[in-house]
Amino acid sequence: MPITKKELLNETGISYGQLYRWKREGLIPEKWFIKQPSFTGQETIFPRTKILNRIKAIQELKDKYSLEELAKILSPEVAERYFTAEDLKIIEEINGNLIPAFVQGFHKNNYSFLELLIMIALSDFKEHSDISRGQIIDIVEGLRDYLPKIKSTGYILILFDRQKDYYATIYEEQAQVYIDSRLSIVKEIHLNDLSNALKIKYRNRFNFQFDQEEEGTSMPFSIEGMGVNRI
Amino acid sequence: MRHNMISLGQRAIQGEYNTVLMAGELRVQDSRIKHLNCAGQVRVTKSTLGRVQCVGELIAEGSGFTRLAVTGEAKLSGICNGDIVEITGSITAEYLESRILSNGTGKKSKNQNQNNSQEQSQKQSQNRDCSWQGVFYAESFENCSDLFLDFEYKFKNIISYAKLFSRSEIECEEFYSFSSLEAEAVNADRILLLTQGEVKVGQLTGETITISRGYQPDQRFKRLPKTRGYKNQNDKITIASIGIMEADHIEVEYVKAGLISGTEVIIGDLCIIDRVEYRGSIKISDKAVVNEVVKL
Repeated sequence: MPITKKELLNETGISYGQLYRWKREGLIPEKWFIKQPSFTGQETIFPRTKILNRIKAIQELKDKYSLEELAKILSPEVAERYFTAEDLKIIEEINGNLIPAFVQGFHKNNYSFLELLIMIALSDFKEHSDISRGQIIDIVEGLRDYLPKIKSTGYILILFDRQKDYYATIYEEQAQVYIDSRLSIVKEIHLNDLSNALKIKYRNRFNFQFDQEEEGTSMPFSIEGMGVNRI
Repeated sequence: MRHNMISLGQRAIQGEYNTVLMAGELRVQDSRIKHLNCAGQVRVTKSTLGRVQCVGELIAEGSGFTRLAVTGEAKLSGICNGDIVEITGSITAEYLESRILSNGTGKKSKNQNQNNSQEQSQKQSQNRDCSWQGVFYAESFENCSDLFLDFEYKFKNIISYAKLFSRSEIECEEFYSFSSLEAEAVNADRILLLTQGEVKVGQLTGETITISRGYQPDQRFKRLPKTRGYKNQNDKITIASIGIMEADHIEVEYVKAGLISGTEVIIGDLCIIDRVEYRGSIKISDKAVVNEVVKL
């Protein structure tokens, strides 16, 4: 059930100035401002639960973070969300001992969502194989220049080895890829499945948005069966 | 050691200079120059320049300027930055970041028709001689010559002394328009519109909205980074046409609007408002016509 702008201001106690400043700063998505005809000409309504939750989150966090930082934290778009090295420590699926290797491999201190998925996949692989820290850095360095070009999670990451030397390739889910049969595929990861599991588990922590989902859906995060196939 | 140079014809320079005066073609690479005055074409690559005045064409790549004034055409590639950048003419910038960015100098040409229609002005702004293309970041943007805002920008403050057009919502923290304005919407903490020239906006939203005939610059305006202050242009006073206004503090005169919704609302002289909604206080002039007043 939608909420009108007047009801929203009354219910939350925020001012017009705050509402429109937060919209301008990207804290409230523009698409939530739904204009509909009314007897006064035009009225703006909002998706009730989403906007109330968002304003509550902003009010709680605005003293801790700048509006710019908040916009990144609350961004619904995976492509726009960045994670700091501190964020990595929160994600249990990322091997804490490998974080320095990822920092070294990516040559930076904040990471896109896709880079996060690669770290999770490599952390899991490390747990189940004898891959060394140096080899993980090599894989990250080998992939890192391609990752900014990828704008969705609809990709598959394949890890393969040749005489204990590990390599990776990443390709779109629909694409047919034929890999040299002398190489042995050791892991195949559907990033989309990994992404969904991650977002569900950490939705409250990182405010991941699932507009299509029912409120309150929860799903335990498990790498097994979430697109990570050991071969 | 720094030295001075006068260049005529074609020349390429590299290194440190105090003052360079040139006419013709000049190539500047990996240089530091305090003052550069040029007429003709200048190509600047990976250099740091102080005060630059250029008439003709400036082509720069990955360079910084303290104060850049170009009359003619500027083509900037890579990341360029400047403290004050004034462009009179056309500019293409891959990424230009400056503290103050000005469109023109505000000097009106003799041929400039004061009564240009929007169509004419749009055509003018799309004309190659005065087009803006690319990505612009600035703390303050001064619009001193008719402009169509159809490029990518992020300006903290916009001060418009000339006609400004936009097909989308204009967003910034402080927005001042002292001349004609036609936009789908403006969203800013502070919006001040003078009804000097044609003002037509679909929606104004923010914290404070003021629409009036005249303006006495206050401290908040005076503190903004800018190259010029406000001078009363004594243009024809008109009635501004606004669809919806929503803000905490609204004070308007000479306005025709559909809906005004705010916390503290003052409706001044010569207003024709269909519906006014207020939360805190309201004042309505005897010389205003308000169809419906609603206390929220």
